This record gives sequence, structure tokens and C-alpha cells, in this order.
Amino acid sequence: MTGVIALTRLEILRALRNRRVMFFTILYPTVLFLLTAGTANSNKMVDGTHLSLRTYFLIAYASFGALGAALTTNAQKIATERKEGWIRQLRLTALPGNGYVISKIASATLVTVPAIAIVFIVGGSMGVHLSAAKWVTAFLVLWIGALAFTALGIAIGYGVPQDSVQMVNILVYVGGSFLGGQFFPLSGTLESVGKALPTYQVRQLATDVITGDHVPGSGIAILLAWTVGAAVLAARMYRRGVDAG
Amino acid sequence: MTTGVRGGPGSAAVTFENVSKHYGQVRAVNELSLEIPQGRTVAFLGPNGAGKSTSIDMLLGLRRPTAGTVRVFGKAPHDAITAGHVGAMLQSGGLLSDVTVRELLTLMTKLHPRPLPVDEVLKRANIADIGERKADKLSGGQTQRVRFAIAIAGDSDLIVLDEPTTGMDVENRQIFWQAMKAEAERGKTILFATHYLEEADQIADQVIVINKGRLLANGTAADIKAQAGFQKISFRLPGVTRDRLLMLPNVVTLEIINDRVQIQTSDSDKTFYSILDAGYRPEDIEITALGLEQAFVAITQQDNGADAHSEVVEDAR
Repeated sequence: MTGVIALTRLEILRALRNRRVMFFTILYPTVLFLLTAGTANSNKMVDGTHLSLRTYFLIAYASFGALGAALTTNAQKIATERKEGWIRQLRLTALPGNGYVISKIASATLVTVPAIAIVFIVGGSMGVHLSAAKWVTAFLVLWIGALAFTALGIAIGYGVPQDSVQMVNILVYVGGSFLGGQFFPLSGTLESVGKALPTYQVRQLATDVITGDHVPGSGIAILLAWTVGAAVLAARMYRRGVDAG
Repeated sequence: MTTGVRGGPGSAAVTFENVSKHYGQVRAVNELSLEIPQGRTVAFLGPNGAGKSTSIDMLLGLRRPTAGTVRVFGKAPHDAITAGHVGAMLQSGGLLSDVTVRELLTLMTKLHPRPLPVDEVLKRANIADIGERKADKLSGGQTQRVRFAIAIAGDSDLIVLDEPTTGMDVENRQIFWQAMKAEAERGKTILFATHYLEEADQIADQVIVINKGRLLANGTAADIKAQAGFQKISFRLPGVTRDRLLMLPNVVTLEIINDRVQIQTSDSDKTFYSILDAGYRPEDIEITALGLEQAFVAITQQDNGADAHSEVVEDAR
């Protein structure tokens, strides 16, 4: 166990040192939030709801940051470390077989915290008023929901060749956010497509929690299915890496 | 001193029992059996593609044999690693580029059941001066020393080094072998693969040679040289034919190119006197002792069935 803790600690240190990770997880979502929520019409309501655009974007960009953190912390690193023999080197230590993946999940989960928290803090200072319970619940929904992307990141890191990881990452990150309503409220066809995605569901779930709307079971089910699916895929990819040869 | 090596006194550090590894039709390792007693420093030699890397991978539990068993201190390889018996230095890669050498080794000590203090590891591997550097800012020789440090981050009983001195200059190599000898003196078993045969000759107590996935020789450097023929006799003898020289005593290989005869022999005196006794008067005579390198080339070529120019006589001994 000390080994897993030591590795996790080093992983977090590396993530915090990595400027690209910091950019995608903290700076980028925060700046986008400031740009959209700072505009004049952000006090308007989202069509057909009693939710202000500013609050909508608070959740949207917090989830965007969480998704970026969960995805980019791991996918690129796993692919690179696979290629550069680091995983092989770790297999020559007493680290338990799943220790590497555990440390990756743990570090991604921790790096997700500031990604969400900073957008929340900026939003709060810009006049988004929520009860303490709603802040906390929304945070927890986004944080736990990000596990789907952590698992997806691990699957990509193991399953995609190192030189293609960047492309796949951006596709999932930007494409998923576009269809998930992270950049603007969705309606019509885009929304029906988006509903099938975890990006949409994790954002919608946190939004429903804030508005006090009925939380649909189907949304939770879709998010859960993605999480389990990605985890199974990640486990399979991981095992394929272990058994190579 | 290392204490508490599990498996009881006299149990071998490494045992290969009829180990084969096939990749499709390719037999990378074929029915390999060998034993490495504890406390030895062993050189593992073989031409490229002989099955060295595959054997080391199986020894380290990175690959599973197609058939046969590999035991390390009486345990399955991966169990031996988990128990902290084995420290290994890979041939390439295996370093993180965005952490310092000290951070990397701190992690490695924590991943070992019997860790050494990080400062001690840095000292033993001669890298105390580069502890604060990032791994991607190191020279080739320094990188190799960091890899070595990873192998000795804990008090392992067996240290496996895959081509440890590749890319090192002469000075670095000497520093490196000193560090490794110090580990051997601590009672550790050391297995290293190398391309530098003079290193094997100077350092190893036991030399294992494999070729085409099979064991070719296993003994001291002197044993290997004896197997290859200790000396090489070379002379010019116009008009001589192969048949006439075949009956000479102690000949291991015989090669005639134009008028030049090259004989590898296990006893150059006896062979040469017989040449004279037969009435020949050779010219431009050279008699040289074989190094391990030539011995290695000789036995692997012999095993490969000899190339187009040399014809090989069965070892008469």
C-alpha cells in the first residue's frame, strides 16, 4: 500500500507541475466561463427554464474543466509511459498489478477538485447565489460524474497509439463538450444526440440538482452505463497491455 | 551481507527448466535449461536474436514461457519480484522525464519491500551530484547510472542488468563496473547481458552463451575458451589440402583461404609440432591466444553450421 501511495503522490505532483494539464483543467475553463458569463445577457433565463445563463455556464464550464482534468491527466501520460517503458519498469517492482491504474484514478480524481472549485469560486464572486447544500451537491455530482472520463482516459491511454492520443483526446474533449451543452444550451436535434453522452448527462444532472428539478433516472442510468462501460474497456485494455507477449 | 534469502541454503538464484518461447513459427527460446547459483556474477552472452532479451523477459516475469518453468529463488518470477528478491535494469526507457532523479529513486525505494535510504542509493550508483536533475537532462552515461540505481534501490538478492554499459564511454564503464563489483561483494547474485566481451571476461565468474534460443556454453570464461579452442594458429602453406591437415591433433576448426591456413586448437603446441612432424614447413607463422570474444565468435559460428568460407571439424576431444 505504501507503494501505491508513493506513486499516487508523485503522480499528483507531476500533474500539478504539468502546464498543459493546468491550462486545460483550470485556466481554460475559467477564462471561457468569464468570457461567456461576463456578458450582458447572462442574467437572462435559459429558454424554457428558470435558470439564468450565468448559472447554466457555471455548471457547464465546471463540468468542462472536470472532464478535461479527468481525461487529459491520464490518456496522454499512460500512452507515453507505455511507449517509454515506464509501465514495464513498474512491473519489475513490488507495486501491485493494479497499483499503477489506482494511482492514475486517484490523481485524476484529485486534480478534478480544483478544476471544479475554481469555476465555482469565480462564479460565486460574479453573483451566482446558491445555498451551501446546492454548491456541495453540484460539486459532488460533477466530481463523481468525472469518473466516467477518468475511465475513458485510461482506456484511451492503453488502447490508442501514443501519436494518436492527442487527436482522440481533443475529439472526445471538444466534441463531447459541444454535444454535451458545455459551450451553449442545446435544443432540438443536437440535444437529442447529446443526451446519449456522459458530457451532457453529468452537466444536466448537476444543473437539475441546482434548479431543484426532477432528476430523471434515465440520465443517471446513461452516465452510469458510460462509467461502467469505460471502466470495463479500460480494464480490458490494461490487461491486454499486461499480457503482451 | 544479504540475509534471509528464501528458498534455503544452496537453492539456485535462477533456474530455467526446459524453457521454450515461441512467437508463432519463430522459436525465440528452445528447451533452455540452466542454473545460476547464489552469489555468482554471471555474464549472459549471445548474438543478436539469440533469445537473450526473451530469456531475460521471462526471468523477470514480463513474458510467459510457452513451455517449461522459470524459477527465481524457488519462486515464480513475478512472486520473486514482489517479494523484493530482484532488482532489474532495463536496456532502454523506463524513466520518467518530468521528475528529478531523487524523486524517481525515492519512489523506487518505496516500491521495494526492503528499501535502501535514497542517499545511499545515489552514492552507490555514483549519481549523488545529479539528484536534483530531471531525467531528460542527463547524458547517456548518467541515464544508465540512474537505471542502475533503480536496480539497487532495494536490498534485492539478484540484480539483473540488460546491456548496462551500452552508450557509456570507457571512464563511465569503469566507474559502473566498480559500483557493480561492490554489489557483488555484498553477496548479491548478478546477471548481466552484454555485447562487450572483455567485460564478461574480466568480471564474470560464470559465462552463459546462448545461440538460436539454445544453450551453447555454460561455465567459466576459461571453459568457454577451451571449448572454442584456446589458440589460433595461422600460417601460409602453398598447395596444402584440407584432407592432409584434418588428422592433426587438438584441432577445433580448420579454415583454408587461398594458401593461408587458420586452425583453432585446444593445444597449439601439440598441433604445431604435428605439422612439423608431418614434414610441412609453413611460412609466416602466427600463434595467438583467443580472447573470450574470439571464443564466442568461434563457438557461435560453429553452431551456426559455419559460413561459406570456413569448414569445421568436429571437436575430436
